[in-house]
Amino acid sequence: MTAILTAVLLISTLALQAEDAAPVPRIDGDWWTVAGDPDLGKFTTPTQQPVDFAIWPAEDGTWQIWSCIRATNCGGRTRLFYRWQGARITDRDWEPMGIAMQADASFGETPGGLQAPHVIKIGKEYHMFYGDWENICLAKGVDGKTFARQLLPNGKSGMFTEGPGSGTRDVMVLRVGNLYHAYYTASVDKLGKDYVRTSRDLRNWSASRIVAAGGTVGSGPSSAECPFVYYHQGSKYYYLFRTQRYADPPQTYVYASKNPMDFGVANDDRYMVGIMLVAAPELIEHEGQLYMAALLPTLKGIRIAKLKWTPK
Amino acid sequence: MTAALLISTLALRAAETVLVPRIEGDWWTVAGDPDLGKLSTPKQQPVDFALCAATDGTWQIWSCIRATNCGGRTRLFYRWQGAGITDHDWEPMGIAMQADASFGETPGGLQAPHVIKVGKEYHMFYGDWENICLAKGVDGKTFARQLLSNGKAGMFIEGPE
Repeated sequence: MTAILTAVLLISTLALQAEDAAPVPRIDGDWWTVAGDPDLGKFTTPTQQPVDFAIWPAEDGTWQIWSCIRATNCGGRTRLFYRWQGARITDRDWEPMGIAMQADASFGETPGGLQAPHVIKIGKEYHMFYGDWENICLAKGVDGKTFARQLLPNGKSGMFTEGPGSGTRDVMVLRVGNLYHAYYTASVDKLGKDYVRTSRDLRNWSASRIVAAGGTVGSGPSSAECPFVYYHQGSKYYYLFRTQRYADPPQTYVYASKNPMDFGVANDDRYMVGIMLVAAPELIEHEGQLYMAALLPTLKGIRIAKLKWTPK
Repeated sequence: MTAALLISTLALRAAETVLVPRIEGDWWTVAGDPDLGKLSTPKQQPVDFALCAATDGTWQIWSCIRATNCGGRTRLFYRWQGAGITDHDWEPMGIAMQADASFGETPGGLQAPHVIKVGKEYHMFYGDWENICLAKGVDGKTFARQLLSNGKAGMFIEGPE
């Protein structure tokens, strides 16, 4: 209760500081759990955790989750992708479908380095963007369930990176006008920042630009995790969800901006509209309802709730 | 002795230029009985398979495993990888694909993949118990199921059952 009151007070206080009347997102009702701690067979460990994930409807209307599972026995950086399937987004306890993908060093991916998938459908093709520990990569498919890794002319899967050791990861892609915007995080020199690159064809990407960094949450290596940008049609604001903590308790700062290229760098008072006690959130629109999916606070699964927007 | 005589006799009847395939030297085992986790059974068997060289030069086997615990017709695809085709005991890489009834495939019905490379794309043809289907990829290791305009994977069939 104390945490909830504190969060409400914080949201109210921060809302007063923002420059404009951007509505704020709020969880509407109870969460339901859709994915748990999967059986990875010989790769299972007691400390494994489902972390950053993607959620989308497949071609047959079923709902899909691919999640990075960290701290497994797969070797290297210990991470792989696991898949769940649900008949409806409102169903609980979706069916575990097995290990979906592992990193492949032959294509430049760091062993055990798969992180944070994100899926969008463009025309008839599903595009899955993902991290390989250093780079942002792409896989494609047409059924929304099976994906084939895409390679560049150099035989590697990495499309772009902020450089070796920067931990370029947590990509999500939003179309703004005629340009696809790829938002992601990296920790160059151990300073966590949110970046964006743009593209017309999803293969050739612009130079990077920092869209959010520092500010109230500081500039530590985990200060700008899991960036997710959502365009709110009613207010014409772009919202950036920026995670700092996965647990104890989870924490994501929310920023609102009319400019999808700027959510505040160093000084974020103008853009910050609230704090949510969630980690790695993804927003999903389905049949006129908005949902938020996020990690369980125990870090042993994934949950979904309805989301609504309210005035400050 | 009988077989050798038969081959010799048949060879004499054939045209001079017709060659006869023969095993040369010893066989080596590249794939064994895989660990399918909760889908394993003592009676499971790797049966019809595909073998191809991936873009990175490694060798790939996708095999139908029958008599598993996956339900339906009990069959799924499992993958192995070897550095060289002459290597023994290629590395087991895990379950690669299962049938999906949503796309017209018979549950547990995946059979007999076959892979060819056309241009830069790998084409994996496979059976779904009733139909011949297609999946495609570019690295030779990951494949995406292809769908027809009716939302199904089956391209052709000689008829149900």
